[in-house]
Amino acid sequence: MTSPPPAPTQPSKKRWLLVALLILAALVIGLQISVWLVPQPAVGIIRLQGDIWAASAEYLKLQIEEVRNTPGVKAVVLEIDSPGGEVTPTQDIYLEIQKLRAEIPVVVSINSMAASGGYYLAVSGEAIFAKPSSTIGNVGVWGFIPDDIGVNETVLASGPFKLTASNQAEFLREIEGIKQEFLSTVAASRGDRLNISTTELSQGLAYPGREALRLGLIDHLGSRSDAIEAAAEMAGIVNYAIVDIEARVYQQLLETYSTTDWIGAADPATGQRPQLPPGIYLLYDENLIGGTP
Amino acid sequence: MNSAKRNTRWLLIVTLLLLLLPTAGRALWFYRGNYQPPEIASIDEFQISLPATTPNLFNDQPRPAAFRSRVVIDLAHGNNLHIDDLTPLRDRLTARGAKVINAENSADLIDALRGATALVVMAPTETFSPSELQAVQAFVQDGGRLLIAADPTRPASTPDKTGINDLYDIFFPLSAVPAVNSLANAFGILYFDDYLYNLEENAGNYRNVRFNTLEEHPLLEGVENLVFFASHSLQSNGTSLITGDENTLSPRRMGETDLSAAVITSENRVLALGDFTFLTPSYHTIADNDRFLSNIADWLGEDSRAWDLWDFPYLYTQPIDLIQISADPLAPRLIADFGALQTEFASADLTLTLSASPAEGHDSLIVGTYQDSKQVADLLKAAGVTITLPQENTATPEADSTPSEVNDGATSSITIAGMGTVGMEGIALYVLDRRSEATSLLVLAEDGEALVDALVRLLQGEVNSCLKAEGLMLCSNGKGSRGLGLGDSDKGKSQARDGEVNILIIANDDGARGKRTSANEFEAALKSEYAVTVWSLDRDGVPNEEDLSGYDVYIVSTGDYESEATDNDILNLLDETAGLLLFGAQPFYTFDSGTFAPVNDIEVKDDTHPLTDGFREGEVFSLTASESKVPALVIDVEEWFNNHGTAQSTVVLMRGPESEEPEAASLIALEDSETNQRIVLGFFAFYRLPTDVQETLALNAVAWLLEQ
Repeated sequence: MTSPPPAPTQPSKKRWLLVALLILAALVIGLQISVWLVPQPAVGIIRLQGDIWAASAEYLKLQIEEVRNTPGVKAVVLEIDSPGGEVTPTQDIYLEIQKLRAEIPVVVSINSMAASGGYYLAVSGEAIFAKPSSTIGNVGVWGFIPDDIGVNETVLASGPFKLTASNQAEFLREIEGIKQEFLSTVAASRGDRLNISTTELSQGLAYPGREALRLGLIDHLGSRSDAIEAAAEMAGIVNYAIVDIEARVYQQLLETYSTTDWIGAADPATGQRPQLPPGIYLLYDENLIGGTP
Repeated sequence: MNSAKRNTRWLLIVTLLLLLLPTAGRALWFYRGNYQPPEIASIDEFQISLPATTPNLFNDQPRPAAFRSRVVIDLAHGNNLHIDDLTPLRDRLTARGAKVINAENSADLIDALRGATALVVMAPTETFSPSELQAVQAFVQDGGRLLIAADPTRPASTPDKTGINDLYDIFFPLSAVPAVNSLANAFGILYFDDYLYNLEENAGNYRNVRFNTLEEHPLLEGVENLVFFASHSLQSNGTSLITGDENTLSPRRMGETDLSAAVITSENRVLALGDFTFLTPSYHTIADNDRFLSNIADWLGEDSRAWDLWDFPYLYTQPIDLIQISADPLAPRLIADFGALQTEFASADLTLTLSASPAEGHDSLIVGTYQDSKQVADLLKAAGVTITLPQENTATPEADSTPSEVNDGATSSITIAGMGTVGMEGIALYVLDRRSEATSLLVLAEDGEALVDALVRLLQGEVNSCLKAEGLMLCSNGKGSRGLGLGDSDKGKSQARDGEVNILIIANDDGARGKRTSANEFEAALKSEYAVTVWSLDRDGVPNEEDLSGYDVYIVSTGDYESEATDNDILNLLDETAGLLLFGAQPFYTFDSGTFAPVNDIEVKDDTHPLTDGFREGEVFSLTASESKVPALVIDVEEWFNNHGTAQSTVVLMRGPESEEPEAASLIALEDSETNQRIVLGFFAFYRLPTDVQETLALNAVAWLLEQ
């Protein structure tokens, strides 16, 4: 006697339901993972407004740090509206931006002014946008000539320049050195785009945006949106978000941040400069002539 | 079993794909490529070349200056320089044997020019007055040399209310170019209010301009390149000595090249430099600046002046014998004043001795009366002069007869060939004789007193109103001399003749509060109308009551300095019947009870008052910068005057709109209704007014004071 063959097995509804749930779960989990793995890219906005002093340099460096700490920021637009300021803080920011550029593109958008040290920072970007009437350039440096002092019977120093750290001849060389460095930086950064000789540039003239474009001091006349689009394109991103990094940092520092505390800085509201300490400046400021050091 | 495994595998694959699908989708949705960091441009720090301004060693080989080389350095025009700045030039001049004289005020300058061979005007910030300009022009006309240097880094001083220069003052100082042009323009030279720069080739900075285009001129002998440390550009009707190249530009002269930084005009007698700094330590050691400095010193050390008798006593080159050809009574006063004469000659590096006749190798000063003119007949004849005396007087005069009696109704006259005849009365005759190697000067007058006056006039150089010809001069001695005096007994006293209005200006310049008063300005404004005597506290000491007697009007000028309690002592000595004009930032001591504020302009408040005759109400006069920067007194007129005594005050000038405390009184006319005494009080430094306003105001004030 032989037994009858087994009846063919049929997937149960229950099984199909299980598979469907599995697919759905996979999709949901995949979506979650994708958000984590591929966050929406963003263009971060950082800003330099007003004078460049140690405090404002620190403020901008905090913004750069925030860019690095913000996932998805794939490009940065640096908005500048500055007459410049002290030499060392300017160079400090410049070097930080150069470092950032090794990671993500930085595009500069000039509002009213990028003069002197402000322009020094502008050339740190890969592309520079400005308005037709923005004030741009004023390449150069200035400072208060120190007094030459001799020796006397009251004060004894260990070296001839111990008290002054410089003298008038040295100061002249220092000014010349910073000027050459500034010009070289502009020439190196702008490269073939520059249509003005370094000699002409060294006059220290400031140009309106349209003229600056003709001279190759900037790349485009355009708005901040144009700069954002350019930055996104350089970063290879679309459908990006825009993150106001500066606003975030400002909020974080709200309780301790005060521009009026900056020594030598012009009051953002009145433009008046309460005091200008001795130093060397990459600075252009119409208010300077009416201010009191 | 295999099928189940296969199904499970597929299920896992599909699940995995489903897990990754959103990620892929997002990636595709958001990204279109990767950012490729560009090569960050960097600069080679070692390529930056810093300028080296190495000083050049220079061995000065001084060319001996001329015998009479006397170089006057103007310090009377707010010259923006430190005294050390002049050391290199001063040293070079001294090494050449030139005498260097500082002229610290207007009177000194005009006086010093009489004996000078060269005048140096560096970085003036105050304009030259018409009288100064006239003196300098006459000096250059006579062959004197003039070196002018201005410097864009040495502007006119600016108001400094806080004691700290603010940036506005640094960037926009009061230009000194109008000041230098007030002198330079008279010699066909124009300083531009600019600076030269060269971006292509410079000495470390765009404004440190190298000059290689140099004119062939003795001043530039051995000079190949110069560095000026900020220079004005100049234009002239003369020769450009130093010219910039095509890259040397001026921000005020866009598009122009070949700009001059130094010019020479007036037949090589006026040298104008656009920079002064290059002559100062240690900038004179750069490039060939030192060589140029030496050449300038050589040039200044030459004597190209044409010395005439009105340049007395500087026309002499040898020891001088004073020869008196007059008989008594001339001798006593001449001898009394001989010491003073010797002092004056010594200040000109000359020796004067009394002698009966000229010694060999000596020059001579021959003095006498017309009555003695026969003794010098040869000299007079050679000069073409004929002295005609009344017949009865050609004989020996009576011992007790006075010259005025002798000449009464006489027809005495002086006839000069080619010029005509003049009456002898009140006339002094000067004749210069250079026929031999020795220089002889003859001075004749009516009598001994007039002769001494004639010598004083000559010493003081007050010869503008004299009739001059080659080697000859006739002066009316009707007007008195003043100021210097011969002998202490005459110091500061009025020398005015009867019928003249005598004004004494007391210059409160004795140093404790600085030296800048407005005495020179008052004198310049009034001397054409009145007999003016200036008493300098610094020079003449504190006057006593006797010194202050005999004047119709006193002007006390405290300049722009703080007044002191001792100043009030002087005021108490003044004759109360005379008019008083008291002028200054703080014209009297206020026992620290006054308030003070800078004054920048003056406005006419009352144009009906005689003091403001010629002005109109509301007219505003800007004041030049105060040299001392001491704020001026602000007083409450009611409190100070109207509530006390019987004097009534009228405020005729007040502080202008650009001043602190506008509308506060600046000039008050005080009139005592009982005594009729009048006083004018000014609460700012008179010298700060425009020159034309000074003259009108001073004349108005004196006229009003004289009415009392």
